[in-house]
Amino acid sequence: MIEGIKSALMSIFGNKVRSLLTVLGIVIGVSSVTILISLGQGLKNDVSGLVKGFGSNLLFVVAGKIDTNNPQGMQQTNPANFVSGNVLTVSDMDKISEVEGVDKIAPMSLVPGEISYNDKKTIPMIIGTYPEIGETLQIIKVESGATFKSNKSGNVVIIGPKTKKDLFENEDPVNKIVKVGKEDFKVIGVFSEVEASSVFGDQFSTLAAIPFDTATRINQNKVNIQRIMIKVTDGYKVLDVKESVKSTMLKNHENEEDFTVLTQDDIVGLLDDLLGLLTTLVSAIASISLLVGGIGIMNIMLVTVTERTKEIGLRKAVGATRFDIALQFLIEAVMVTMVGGLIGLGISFAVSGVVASKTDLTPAITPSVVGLAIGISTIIGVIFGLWPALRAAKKDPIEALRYE
Amino acid sequence: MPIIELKNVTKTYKSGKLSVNAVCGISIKVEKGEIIAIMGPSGSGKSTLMHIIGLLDRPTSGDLLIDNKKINMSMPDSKLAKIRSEKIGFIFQQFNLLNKMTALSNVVMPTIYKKIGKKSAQERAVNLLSEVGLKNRIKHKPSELSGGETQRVAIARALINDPDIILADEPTGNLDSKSGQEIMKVLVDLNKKGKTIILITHDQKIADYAKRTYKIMDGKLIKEAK
Repeated sequence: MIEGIKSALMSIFGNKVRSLLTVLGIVIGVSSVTILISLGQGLKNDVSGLVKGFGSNLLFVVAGKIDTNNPQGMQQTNPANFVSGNVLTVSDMDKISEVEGVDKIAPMSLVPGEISYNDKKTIPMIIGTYPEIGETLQIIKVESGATFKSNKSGNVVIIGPKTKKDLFENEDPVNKIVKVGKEDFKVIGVFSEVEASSVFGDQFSTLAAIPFDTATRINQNKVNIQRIMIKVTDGYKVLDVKESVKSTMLKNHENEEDFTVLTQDDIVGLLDDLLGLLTTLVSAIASISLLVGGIGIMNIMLVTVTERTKEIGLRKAVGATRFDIALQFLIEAVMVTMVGGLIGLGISFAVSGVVASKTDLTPAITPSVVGLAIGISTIIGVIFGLWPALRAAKKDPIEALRYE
Repeated sequence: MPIIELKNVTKTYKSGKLSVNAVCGISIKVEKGEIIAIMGPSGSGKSTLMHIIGLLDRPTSGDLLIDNKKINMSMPDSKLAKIRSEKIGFIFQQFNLLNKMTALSNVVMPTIYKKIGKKSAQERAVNLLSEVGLKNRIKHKPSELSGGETQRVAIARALINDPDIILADEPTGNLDSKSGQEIMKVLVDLNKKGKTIILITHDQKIADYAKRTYKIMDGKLIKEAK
């Protein structure tokens, strides 16, 4: 066995260029699979970290029906529903507020437009919401100043740290007058910094909140609610409250389930499904590369077997059995593919390093990814090395010794 | 007691409707410790005979006995390979060394298939290379050796598993006459140490080193000469 590995390495390094070209398919296949999985894993870690930051006692009500138990749930959902603003109503929120176990509630109603101060402008994500926004969506807190007193507080705004930086630099923005769209608004507070995320970027840092009724007025009196965020009262089970909210909503929507109540786990789960789908897709593409790579290996191994016919004859003459010969060439094929796998893995590590340093995403190359890369390349080596190895084993020693 | 005995051995090659008798009913006896030659022009069947004696080929009919034991020709390849590695050492006209390996690795190579410990195999290989006068050449590759030196490495390789029988197929065929004589001297010395040596050659000068010569023509034994 050790002799086999030694002889395989000798043969690989004896033909460096050929070996390198041979393993290219394996390198591409293995690196694309491992890069994708580690990116996906990194993305998942990132998003679940963020979602966990929302607080585990948070429920979201969104428009559209998503089947969270079905991995294909995302596919059956009309994406337009997610941003649709006319499914969720003020009446829904009033009813939900009365549900037992609901502590705080805040809607998210998008308002288009920019915020300007003197001659500086920025385009943040402006939402109309309730004063309780900071207590529901726990990832954001009012750092300085205060939140608005009620939905009828008029033209007041809480700005995000990025907006503050863009418009005020080092100046204190509280009590300053800014323009939201064409109207004057008084800045009453600033949200705290939220760590940038690969999925949401610095969206949370640009978030600006205005009272819900003001938002509705700006949206030409059209109620436009994208999300309802609910904080569950301490001591209540999130899943129980989720069911109560759902039945209340169903009653209010005349039993038409055109909404979904999501927990933190549901959101992470949905992301898992999406990533799973993506991984399957890219794996399918990568497997084509691996197949082509495998055929390349088979081809080159057949050439090697022919080139080394005389060696095979000699080895048989000095006592090698068919099994010995087959094993030798099989080990060689596996070593070639494993070298390919390791190069692929090296590329993945390099790419992950670059991604980690240039973006907010930290790809995670887990031991199972390393195992997968080595496993895949070994299996390819065995599958595509078998036939050439058997051909080598079957060679007649006399014919082989005569081969020139 | 004969170490090798061929009884009425025939080998027929069939290709389509045509059949060629490469060896026709040859009987040969070789005593332990003998040095004999099998001589004949090319195409006479002497190589086929060597392949049969060397268990690389199976006769169409007739019996082969090694150490007075009949070789069952229907036994699987792996069994034949085992007997081959224990009893027979090959020396070829083309040397057949592996070019990417050192002299030492070439000599050690047959032990891989006999599952001998690496350390003892290497020690033995170094001793054998010293015996054939290549003590300073063990790390050299075949391309760095002369023809005569290369054939000595091949002789050391043939001896590594300590076989009783050495089959030498035109051992000097690719060498100049001086190197050829030196190689023959090595083989004669081995014979003196008790190895049974079978020389396959078309060259009378080589056959002269043997105590007995079997002359073969068209697959038939035409003469046994002392």
